[in-house]
Amino acid sequence: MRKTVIYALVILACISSVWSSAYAATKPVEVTLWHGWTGDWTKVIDDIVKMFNDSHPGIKVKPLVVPYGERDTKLMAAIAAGNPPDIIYTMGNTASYAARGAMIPIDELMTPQELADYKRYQWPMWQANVYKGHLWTFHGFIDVMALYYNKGHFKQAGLDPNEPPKDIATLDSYAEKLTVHDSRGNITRLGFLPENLLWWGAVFGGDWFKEGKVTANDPEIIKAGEWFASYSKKYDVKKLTAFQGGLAEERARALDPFISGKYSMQLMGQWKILDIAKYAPKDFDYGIVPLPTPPGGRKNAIIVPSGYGLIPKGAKHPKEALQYLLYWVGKGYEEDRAKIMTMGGWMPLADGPWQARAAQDYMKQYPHFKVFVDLLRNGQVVSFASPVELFYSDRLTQAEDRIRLLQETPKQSLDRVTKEVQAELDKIK
Amino acid sequence: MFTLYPFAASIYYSLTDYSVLNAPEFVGVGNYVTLFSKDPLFWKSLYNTLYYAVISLPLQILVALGLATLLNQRVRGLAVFRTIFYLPSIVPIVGASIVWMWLLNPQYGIINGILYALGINGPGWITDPVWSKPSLIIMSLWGVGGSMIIYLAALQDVPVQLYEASELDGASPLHKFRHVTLPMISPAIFFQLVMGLIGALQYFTQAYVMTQGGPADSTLFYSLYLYNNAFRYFKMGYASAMAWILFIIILVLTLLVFRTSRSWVYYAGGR
Repeated sequence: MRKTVIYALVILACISSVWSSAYAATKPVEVTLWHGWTGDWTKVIDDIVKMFNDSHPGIKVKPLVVPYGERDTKLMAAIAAGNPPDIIYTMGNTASYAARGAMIPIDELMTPQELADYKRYQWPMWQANVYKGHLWTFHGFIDVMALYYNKGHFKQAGLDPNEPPKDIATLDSYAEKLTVHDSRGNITRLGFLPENLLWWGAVFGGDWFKEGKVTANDPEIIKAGEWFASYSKKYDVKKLTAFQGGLAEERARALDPFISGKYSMQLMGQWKILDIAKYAPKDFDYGIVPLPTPPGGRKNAIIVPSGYGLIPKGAKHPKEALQYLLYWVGKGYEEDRAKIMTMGGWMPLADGPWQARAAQDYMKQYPHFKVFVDLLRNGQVVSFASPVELFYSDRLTQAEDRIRLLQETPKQSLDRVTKEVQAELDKIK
Repeated sequence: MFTLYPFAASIYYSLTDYSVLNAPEFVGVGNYVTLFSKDPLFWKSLYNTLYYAVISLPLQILVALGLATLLNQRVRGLAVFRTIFYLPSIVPIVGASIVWMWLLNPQYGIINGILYALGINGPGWITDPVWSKPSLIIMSLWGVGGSMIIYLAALQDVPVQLYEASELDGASPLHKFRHVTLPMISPAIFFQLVMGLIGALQYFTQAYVMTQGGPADSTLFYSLYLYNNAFRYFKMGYASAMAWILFIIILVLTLLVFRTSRSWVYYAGGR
């Protein structure tokens, strides 16, 4: 009797193990993905994930929205608890996580041959993800800034809409002509206002790091700061602050300050093309040019933030996760990658996908993207990646306030940032 | 267990260099030394927080008490007024913050609209480093409904015979308020003072939602800087040290309030 029971159990165990391994072979590996795209964008990401899952039978990516505000808290807790997602979308945090050993470098997941192929395939943006001798990710896309200008305003002000400014002096003089005040003396339309010192510092020829040292007080960046301050002096800080504060709550959609005609010229990223197509009136006429430069400035400067798609240490399926990151690069999936652009405007960072049919059609539909593609192709990459990237950018935001409000000279402000950030950096090394 | 462990752990972490992502590394009192001697933002955030507490706390008590006194009168529509003044305190802070960003909008906000109608060119409110803290203080006064209710309850507990007796002695309304009402409701004021103090020193949500510490660090409050250190800059050990310093500040101030309370708080039933 006992023997029969044991035999029965053994047979049962055999069957179940065969059955479960057969089941495992057909069941795809589940890859968890945390991303921060909310609202309408969640559906877009879901669709892209579905495209990936359909083309990769062995892998099933499961996307989960973790809003921007809680991402880092949740990720830190998950990593500390040993239960992180397989892919996390971060922004400007690669080196911060990498320096603390919280991510898996992707060069450890690829053969040297594969790695070399991908490096050759993508434009040189990937260099921004090299830290401590490892490659931490390939960018699937990046944001690029350029100058948008309102052609209607140009005509009203007697400027030639086909001759946008190419240097800072022209930009300044156009800005004056395009600015409008109301009877209370308030600014109702601003020709232009320098914002985003991170980008303009690079355009003026400055470097945020030199030989591993923080150089926020690079003379060229100070010049950019002085240019910021010159607007506060010219247009009266109080009025500018009131004007800008007035815009603070209207950044979305049709109330966007550029679409609603509050700014005649503005530094913005490629995504604005789609917002304009969606929310601007049909006769809204505008152009885009690379950021104007001062004499001796850096043409086609692009700041490449580190990040976008990392594999945390402790991820259960790093190899499969990598496949999803590489899918966004587009090698071997050119048509799909081109299609991804048509879904959300994420420009591919390699020639391959641009030759795909979908990309060509998309460019015909939105010719404005051309400026950005050229910028990406010929861009002079300026790096901002470091283990203290968020601290650096927070300090820079506050310094920009002080410069804009004329509380300190640009030199004082940027010296302070340099000192503060360098001190933090020293603690890590 | 669930209270004690995090409590003890945070003491230990405050003595370490801990990014959460790595194992903590013991550094002794290093974090505390850095905070006091090498971190201007620590002092800045402490200053901002004390500024907020010192100004908003007395104002909140005055406004709440004033409202409660008014709403303790027998006027028509009393219930409606009480509801209206209480209403803001049940609005979630995040929602209220967003509404206030609109009200305080320098160019289109209703507050500057009214000021302009009165011939005053209003300030930039939360976009101006001089006005950003006062803006948040004004906003905090809007939410005094909760403490107003407590004062109202306390006011209604004051025995009527005390007023009648003082009236017989010829006391004016002001005298009655000073010598009858205030002593009788002093436990409520004391309670509000302690709770308000703790709340003000932990001030966080509004600044996190509305200003993120800007402009020019003018609303970088202690808790906000603590949060940034813990969750943006990967300095959990440092943040733990900050939390302990805040705890000690709150403890000392609260003890001080308790100590002085003996001379001004009157318990009708006690001693």
